[in-house]
Amino acid sequence: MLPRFAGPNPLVPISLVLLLATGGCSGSSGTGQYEPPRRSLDTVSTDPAQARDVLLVSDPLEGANRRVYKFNAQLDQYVLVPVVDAYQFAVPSFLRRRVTSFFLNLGEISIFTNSVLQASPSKATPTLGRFMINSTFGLFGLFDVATELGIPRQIADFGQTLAVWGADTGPYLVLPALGPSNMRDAVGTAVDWATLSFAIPSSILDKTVYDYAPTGLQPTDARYRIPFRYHSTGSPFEYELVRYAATVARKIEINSPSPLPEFPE
Amino acid sequence: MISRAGILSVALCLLLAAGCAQHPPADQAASDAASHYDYPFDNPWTATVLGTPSQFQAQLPADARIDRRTLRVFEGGEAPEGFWHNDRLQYSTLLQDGEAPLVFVIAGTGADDQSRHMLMLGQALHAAGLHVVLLPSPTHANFIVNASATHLPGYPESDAADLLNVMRLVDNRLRESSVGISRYYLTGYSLGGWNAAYVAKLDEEQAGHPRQSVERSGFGFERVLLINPPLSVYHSVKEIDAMLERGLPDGIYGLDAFLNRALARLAAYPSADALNFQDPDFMVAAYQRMRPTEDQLAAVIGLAFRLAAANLVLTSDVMTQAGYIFPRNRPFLSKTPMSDYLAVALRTSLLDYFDDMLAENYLPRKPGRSRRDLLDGTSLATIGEWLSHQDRIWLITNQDDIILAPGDLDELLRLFGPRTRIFPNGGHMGNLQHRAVTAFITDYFTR
Repeated sequence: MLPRFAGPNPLVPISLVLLLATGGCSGSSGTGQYEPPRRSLDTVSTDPAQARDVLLVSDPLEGANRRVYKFNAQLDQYVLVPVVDAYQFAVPSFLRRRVTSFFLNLGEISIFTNSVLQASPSKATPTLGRFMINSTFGLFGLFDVATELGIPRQIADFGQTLAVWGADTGPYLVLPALGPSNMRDAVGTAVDWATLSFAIPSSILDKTVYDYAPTGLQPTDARYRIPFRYHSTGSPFEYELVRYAATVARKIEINSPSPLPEFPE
Repeated sequence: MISRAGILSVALCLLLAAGCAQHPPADQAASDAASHYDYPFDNPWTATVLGTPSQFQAQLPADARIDRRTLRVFEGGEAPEGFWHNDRLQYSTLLQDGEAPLVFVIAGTGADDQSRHMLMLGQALHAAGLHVVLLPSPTHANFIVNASATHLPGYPESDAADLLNVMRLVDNRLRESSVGISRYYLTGYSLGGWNAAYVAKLDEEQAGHPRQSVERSGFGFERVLLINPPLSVYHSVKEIDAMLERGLPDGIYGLDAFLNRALARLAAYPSADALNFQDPDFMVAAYQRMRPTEDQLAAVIGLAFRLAAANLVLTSDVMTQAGYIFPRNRPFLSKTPMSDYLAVALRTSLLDYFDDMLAENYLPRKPGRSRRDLLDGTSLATIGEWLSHQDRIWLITNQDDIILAPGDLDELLRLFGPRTRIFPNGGHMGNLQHRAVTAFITDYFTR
């Protein structure tokens, strides 16, 4: 639903560092020099401090985050969305679904790793089964046979693992190209990428099909899967609304129980 | 050992074989049932929130090409940097290959040219053989910034003038690219339907006006259809404000708690897929799990409208530098923190906007008129005399449309008489995708 990519991208650790470096000089928005509007928090409520809290997410790095948000919107407008449009035009939907399944199957590796790190056999067992079934019967993951057999995909990533072991979200972050996140999940994303890049057994990765994985197809597919388009809400408050929606959606994702296998009657 | 090419060719064969098996069987029963109205939700609040479940929807060809286009309406006059992504008017077209009638579709409150209802109307009308032009609502930020002469939507005549101006520009552009247009139709849903009535009237008044060029003597819309319009914007805003109060007794203070409760209930059910609020079947499933009360549904509808109002008020305020909720002398930039203004905007009803911003702009130009006159002027009854003689303008709405105040439906019936199709249920726009409703709309423009 919201912009987030999965997959190796060497730029991200660098941009994280940059973000942290620029974050310090963000909160420079004194309001004193502006003529107060006719309707302000003081005039519409008896308790302005409480009234301010609506849909509010703590965002100490807002200045830097908003700049990255605009950068992401421009990246979308000039690069990613035209590429996705061309992809949708040139590639039939049946093949697009195969591409998506393929990359989601690769993603099972970090779902499995994190299920183990979360000490959750109820997630690890079906994930291992899914990966084995889809990588073989599903032709290297091109077909999601396991879901049709009633073994649903689990949710597990390193950000969630950190949450399970008690880590706080930290401040809200907008990551370059990846979109809304927070400090904890940004670390999680970086660790998951490192896992995918280095920790996959070569006996799996030696297969021919996987040679094609890290090409431009992956970011294209990742963006294709997310229907969100920047500024399509038409709201001048879009930054605030996305910040709120991304934060609660992630909270739900982390706290929701794992889907149970269904067995056909 | 199998070669690379071997694996790939086997995979390719399998893909092709599987692809051939994907064609869904033709549903022959669907076309016979087009006239049968069996919309399932009798509760208007449920209908408005859930829309039409897929098994009741009209079958539309998915291959229609929808082109997003942009238009510069006024030369010069740079918008503030905060609207950097919003520097042209956006509209969409679905065109036929040969000559055909062209229908303009106007979106509802706060909606743009590609909102859910607009895409559905566009596909249905295109499948019926018409050229379709989808236009954003004059209340949408994109229109306020780029196509509104005053940047203050809500006044019926000036909205109509803005819309007509855009329609002329779009029409010129289509004719320049030699699209064959045989005649013109007009429609719109919700507030867009209300707009359509005033556009048709203004177009008629300007036809033959010496100021117009010979070539453009008015569109002379031959058929106009108002879909679930308000009778009076003033009445409907009062109804919608009441919905919000009904579900949120503490007002916007209770909003976060309300959303948290709803999300907690939604999250209690396992699902690996993203929450997809665009999918009516997901909505039905979520609804059945959450079992919301009528008050909660009313609050959701009220909130959707309030958010549209908040967007409108802030955009108009920034564009006119009125200093209403945003400081007059503060630059509106993409890096400007907006949380405080959002908190105020969510507490600003469209009635406040009418009273404070619109009245101040219009009353000085109309001596002798009061604020009350301005509000009463948002009713179709003020052009009722003209409307009642327009055989080309029809109305389609629902018996239980929740934006109509008590008595509004009777007044609409009085204005439109026999040129009316009322469905027994469907709430506000809930049944638009029902096959019988879609069939009525497309029949109206093709019969």
